[in-house]
Amino acid sequence: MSFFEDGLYSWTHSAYCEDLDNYLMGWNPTDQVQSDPLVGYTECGLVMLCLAVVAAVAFYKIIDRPTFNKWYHWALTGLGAAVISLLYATGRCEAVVPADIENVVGQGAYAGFGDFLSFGFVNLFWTFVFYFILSLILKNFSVNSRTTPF
Amino acid sequence: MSKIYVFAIGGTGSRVLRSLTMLLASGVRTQNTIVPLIIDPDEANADLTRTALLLDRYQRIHDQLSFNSTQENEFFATEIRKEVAHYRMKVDNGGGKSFSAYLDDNAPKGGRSKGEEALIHMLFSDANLDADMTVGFKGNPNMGSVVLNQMEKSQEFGDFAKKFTQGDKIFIISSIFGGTGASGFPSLFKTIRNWKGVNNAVLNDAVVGAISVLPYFDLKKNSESAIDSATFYSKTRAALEYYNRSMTNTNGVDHMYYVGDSSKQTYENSEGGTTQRNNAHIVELIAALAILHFDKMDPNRNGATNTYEYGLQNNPNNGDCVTFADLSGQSHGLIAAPLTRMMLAARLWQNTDSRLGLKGSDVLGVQPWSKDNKLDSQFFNSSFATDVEQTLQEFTEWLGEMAKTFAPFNLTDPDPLNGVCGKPVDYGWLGKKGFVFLQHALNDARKVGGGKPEQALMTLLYKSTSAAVKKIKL
Repeated sequence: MSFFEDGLYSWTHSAYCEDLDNYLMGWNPTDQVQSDPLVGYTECGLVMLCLAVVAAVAFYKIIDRPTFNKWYHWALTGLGAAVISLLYATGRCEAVVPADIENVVGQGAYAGFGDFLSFGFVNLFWTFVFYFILSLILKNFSVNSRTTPF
Repeated sequence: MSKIYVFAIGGTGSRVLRSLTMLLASGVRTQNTIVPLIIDPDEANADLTRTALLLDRYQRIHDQLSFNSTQENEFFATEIRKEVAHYRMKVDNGGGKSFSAYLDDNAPKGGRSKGEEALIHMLFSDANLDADMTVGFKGNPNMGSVVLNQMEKSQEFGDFAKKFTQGDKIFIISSIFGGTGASGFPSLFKTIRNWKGVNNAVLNDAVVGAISVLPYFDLKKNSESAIDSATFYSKTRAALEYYNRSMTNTNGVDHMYYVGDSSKQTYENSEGGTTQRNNAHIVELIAALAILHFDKMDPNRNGATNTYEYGLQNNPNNGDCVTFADLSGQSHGLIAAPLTRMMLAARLWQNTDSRLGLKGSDVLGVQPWSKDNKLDSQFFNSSFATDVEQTLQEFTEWLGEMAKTFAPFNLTDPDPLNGVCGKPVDYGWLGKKGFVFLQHALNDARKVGGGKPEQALMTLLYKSTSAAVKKIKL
């Protein structure tokens, strides 16, 4: 999906190495061809987006309680979703990417845990950004949190 | 709008007026404006001063609000008008003199004849003649009938007659077993029907309703007090006989209500003054319902006296306490929802939980209802909010005082919605409960009031407590 590959992640791909970026874009380092990777921008982006939607809907429509509508409750909910997004992205890369890239270590391709973690933080950041944008829309449909975060 | 002039005579009159004010504050509405006129020679009577203060607060709150068709608030909706200072029709009680001195002051020029002197001593005991009337007539209607017969000479009665217009009605509240009420009712009624001053044609033919409160409490024995509750029934029988002959016949009272209670509470024996501050009683609430019933009556006379007694739907099964379930459908429909709304508003206001109380530090300026309507801590320090708070406080006290005879609410239940006796609330598995429900309902009411915070607050309270009443399924 070009929205994630060419759009969203292209603004933040400098946070990790180019090999990981290429891999997540679909470049198969083993066969040296462009193909569908086991884990890519599309998967992580969709998960990130879903987490942001779930968190916003949960905060504004499902929980929607007068005792859970302060700005820090809102921030906590968004941060929760963002951390899950970080863990997911890092965990998936850790589990899948090294296996593929190790096959071509001899050719100089390598992405380590630091890159995966950076990619995780990129997901954390985007999750929170989407959570914020969705909040601006969904708060209008909330009873108790329509003035949260502002 | 036409008016009902409500004459509240004596301590019972003031207490019934207090109950009526509580009902009107709760949102029970009348078709007519209520004009209270308290008749009590005992101006320090705590029942009277407490009621006058409540009426003043009610009026101040009502005046800050508007009640057109676009407004959704019913709290304090009925207009109560103050036409005389302190709502009180002054009665010349001799200004600290004894009853005999009062008689001397009002004796014909040239003094009384021997026959008149003898008649006075036949009608009044020495104790009567020596009595100081500063605190009323101490249960002696024979004294009261003399003093209150002078009512037509008072400035306030003349002012009342001047303001009385076609379509207005008169309601008289009195007890039959005391002094002031038992004597004041016939005297006042006679004055109205025989008034020869300004506006006499309209006043003489006015529709008059009256409630005569039969004995409903006993007083503790007190050798220092001139009042003995053992005489209540004999006085009642004598007065009823008199009413039957002269009040409930042609050209008599148009609508006559009677209420009493054979299962009586015992109160402290106070002759009057600041210590006469009796607890509220269901009989006074029922007497107030009589005024609401009378409010719907035709303002034209049909000649006959209609007599009404009050009955409960069920014998109370909670000891002697009456709950909403024991009221007839008509009474239940009239007061159950308004009183529940008011109780919920009071509980919400009085809740000191910073997260869930109306004025909690995590609520004001935080919850959307507060932010949207600019109801901040500064507003809650205003005189309007103070008046509402004090009225709600007194409402809670009034319910507490009545709890031995009328206990529709359990005010100690941590969940105010579950505080309605016999009506446990089914919130469902994930439902918002108690004060969380009320705060949610406040937020659900959204922006209200057209920019005026006073209007916004009352509308929010009314709408949120209405949502709760719907949940309770009264």
